[in-house]
Parts: sequence; structure tokens; C-alpha cells
Amino acid sequence: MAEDKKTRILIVEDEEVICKAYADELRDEGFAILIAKNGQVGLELALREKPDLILLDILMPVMDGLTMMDQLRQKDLYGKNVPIILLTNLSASEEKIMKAITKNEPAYYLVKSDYTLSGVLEKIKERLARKI
Amino acid sequence: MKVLVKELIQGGKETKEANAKNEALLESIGDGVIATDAKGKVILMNQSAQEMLGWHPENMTGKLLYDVVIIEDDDGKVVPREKRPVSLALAGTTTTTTTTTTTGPTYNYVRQDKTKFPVAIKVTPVIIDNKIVGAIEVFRDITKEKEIDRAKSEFVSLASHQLKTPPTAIKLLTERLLGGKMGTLTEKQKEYLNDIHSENQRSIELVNALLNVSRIEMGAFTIQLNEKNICTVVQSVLYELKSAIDKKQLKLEEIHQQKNISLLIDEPLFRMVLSNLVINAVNYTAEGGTIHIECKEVNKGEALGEKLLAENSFVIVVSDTGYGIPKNQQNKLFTKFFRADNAREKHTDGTGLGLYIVKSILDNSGGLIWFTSEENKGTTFYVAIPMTGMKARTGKKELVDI
Repeated sequence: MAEDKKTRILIVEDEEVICKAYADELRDEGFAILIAKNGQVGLELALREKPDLILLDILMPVMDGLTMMDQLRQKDLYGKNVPIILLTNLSASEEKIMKAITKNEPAYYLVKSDYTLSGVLEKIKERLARKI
Repeated sequence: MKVLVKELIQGGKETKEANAKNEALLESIGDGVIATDAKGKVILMNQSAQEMLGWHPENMTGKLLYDVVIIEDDDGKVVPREKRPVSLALAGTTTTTTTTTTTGPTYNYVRQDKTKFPVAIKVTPVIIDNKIVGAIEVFRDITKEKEIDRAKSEFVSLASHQLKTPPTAIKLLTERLLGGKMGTLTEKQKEYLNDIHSENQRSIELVNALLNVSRIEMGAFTIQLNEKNICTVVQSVLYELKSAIDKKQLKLEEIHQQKNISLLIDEPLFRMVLSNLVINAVNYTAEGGTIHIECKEVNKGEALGEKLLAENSFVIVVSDTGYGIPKNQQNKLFTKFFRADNAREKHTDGTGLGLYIVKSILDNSGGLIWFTSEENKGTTFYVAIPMTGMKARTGKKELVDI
């Protein structure tokens, strides 16, 4: 598949090893991967490159995931509609996360320590399918 | 104190000495003290009360307490007169009324300068000749306590998040390796990687369990109720655990007395309770054994499992033909980290926190749990929830799914 035909996923995650695991798995599945280490870089990268889906960690330095999601949704048409999957180990309360998700549809969250790689993969495919 | 109020209300003759003693007593108390008559009019207040509220006795004595000092709840809403601790005590609905940091809603006193502070209030009615003649309120500023609670809670949340990061990384990497995309593995390599994966999973479960225990201990968890068809919920939990049950080739018997029972519950918490009990049954029963689940309504006064029910309840029975719990260890079953000796022998995993968490959930929501057990025969757990439903509770956090 040509590079520009691949579906692109942006991973915003500050933990290198976790990021690597998701990136490798998704590349094996045929996705093109973009990486950002914090919400600030993630925001800029998302607006510039317009990936098809964003995997977003919550607890990160400089700018956290919930703030980035809020800001992204206010930017432009792309920012308003790109599907987001929040990856968390519940540093924020579930209530806070649910509020952010309802406010910032289309968004979903899953708990990193609960989900297998294949589980995350499934969710990604599901969310991408919804978009179409 | 009562004598003092009695005198003030009835206007008795007092010696200078007695007066001085009473006054010294009052002024030495660090908490705020306010005495009112039967209508709620302020009769006296001590120095601490003045300092905390910013009101001078001149502005308060003879006035109705509710008119001068406003109480607001945490949402900024003014607490109406009838609901105020002083009113409740004077109405005689309870002998003392208390609002504290963890067991009730947080009340905030509004000072004269309009600033607020969180407060713990205790009011006792003064009863003379069987009549309520006044009330004494003692209150203290709990800003510090609330701050400490909040800091503790945040520390625990942050710590458990950080503690889960390395195990999450290990989990994902082992999954990659086991997926075979990083090269073919020998059987032994697969075996070791699977072991790494499960040991790591234990780490994660332990952190989650500790997080729950911590929230339970701090009284910080929330119970939110919704009406649910309880049979559907039970069936769904059992479906989730089907593979674990099948793996051990255990026979599952499921009996619902009635399919349409609707109950007010916090579903995630209810599921946690049931899952824990069923997983224990699975873990502590040898291959080929039986797990029996029964759901039914039991009336007040009926006996079940050597216990008499105090009210009409919905009961879930989880019974197994497993190793049982030795008689001399039964009284420790619900304590933290306790695992019976025979359990440890047969099944080395297990946090030892499951039953503590289950009991805490039920204790906090008006439910009951008890069991009967015989070594090498089996164990039966009983969970009873009143037909009126679980009791709600506001808290800042939820318990984590384990």
C-alpha cells in the first residue's frame, strides 16, 4: 500500500515504551503512525497533519490529554470531527473523563492496564469504521 | 454547660464565683460554642465562636441564629432553616445532630465578612423536666482536615497511576512477543512469556485493589443508584466469567426465583461484589466441581444460612463444592490481605483484598454478607440487599474495576 493511502493514526503518549508497543502493533496492521510526546506537540501535529484518528494519553507534561482534546475541538472543522480514543490509567476520576468525552464527541476512553493490544486495535478499527 | 444554660434561661441567682467559673470554662474551649433558647435565639457564644464567625455577641445575642449565621452546602446553596442542625435538635428529631467530614454533607459557615469555612457541627438539645428549653451547639473549623483528606486522596490516585505505568508497558511488550510478530518463539519461550504476563497482571490487580481499599478507608467512594433488572445483571456477570468457569470444567447451576425483579443498585459495585464471590468459588473449587448461584426474595424474619433476616431482602447465594474455609480461620475472612492456609496452598495468586472490598461495599450501601463453610465440603456465601435498594452515597471517586 502506498504511504499516502495508509490510514494515519497519531499517538500522543509520553511513556516511550508504551508508545513504542502501540506504534509497532499499529504499523504491523498497516497504519501510518505519527508520534507526539505531550499535548502541546500533539495539538500542533494534529492540526498540521490531520491524522484519521488520535490515541490520546491523559497524564502528560506540558499539556495533558483532556486539555489538548478541549483545544483541538475548538480549532477547525477537522479538529471538531477527528475521532479520539483516550488511553488512561485513571489518573483523573472517571466522572471527569466521562464529562470530557461527552463534551468532546466523537471520543471514547479505555483503561490501558485493562486492554490488550488486540483489544485496542479492535476499538480503533471500530471507531474508524464509524466515521465512514 | 446545661446548668449554665438552665440558669440563663430560667434566670437563677448565681454567685460571682460560680459565674466566673462558668465563664472561664466556656472561654477555655477551643471549639466554638453557641447556646440558644427553644426558639433558636442566641443566648451566649464563647470567644472561639466569635473569632471563627467574625460576629460579636452584641450582634448575635437575642437574635435567631439562622438569621445571623448562614450555612451553605458545598454547591453554595443556603441550607434552609428546617434542615439546620440547630433546628433538628430543637425539634427533638434526634438527640444530637452531627455533620462531619466524611459521614455527612459538608456544611460551610458564612462569616460576617462573607468568607466561608467548612465546619463540623454538633448540637445537643437541653432538656429540663422533659421539655426542650434550648440547645447547645459546638462547632469547629475543619478546613485543615478537608485539605488533608483531599491531599491523601490525590496522592493515592497519582501513586496508583504511576505504579501501573511500568506493568502496562510490560503487558504490551509481552503481548507483542506472544503475538509472534517479533519472530517465532519456542514452546518454552512462550511458556515463560505467558508467566511474565500473568505475574504482571497480578501486579496491576494488586494496585487496583489497593486503590479501592484506600478509597474505602477514606470514605471517599461514591455509590450511585439506578433501577435495574437484577436477573439480567447477574446473568451478564456470569456470562463474563464463563470462560474461567469452563476452563476449570466446573458445573454452573443458575436459579432465578423470578425473572422480573427490579432493584435499586449501583450496578458497577454490584457487579464487583458478585464477580469477586464467583471468582473465589472458581479459584477455590477443584476441577469438576459445582458452583451454584441462586437469586431470590427473602422476607423479614425468615432464616437463611443460619441467619435471620431483619428486613425484606433480595438475596444472592453463591455456593461451591470447593476446599472450604477452616473453622479456626473463618472469623478473619473479611480482613485485609487475609488468605486461609488451604487457599494459599491450592492457589498462590490472589490479593487477599477481594472479600474486604466486597464487605466494605455492602457495609456502606446497607447490604449484608455472611457465609457458611465446611473444610473439603464447600462454602456458601449469602449477599442480602434490602428490597428498598442499596443506599446512595456521595464521594469524590469511584472504585476501580478489579
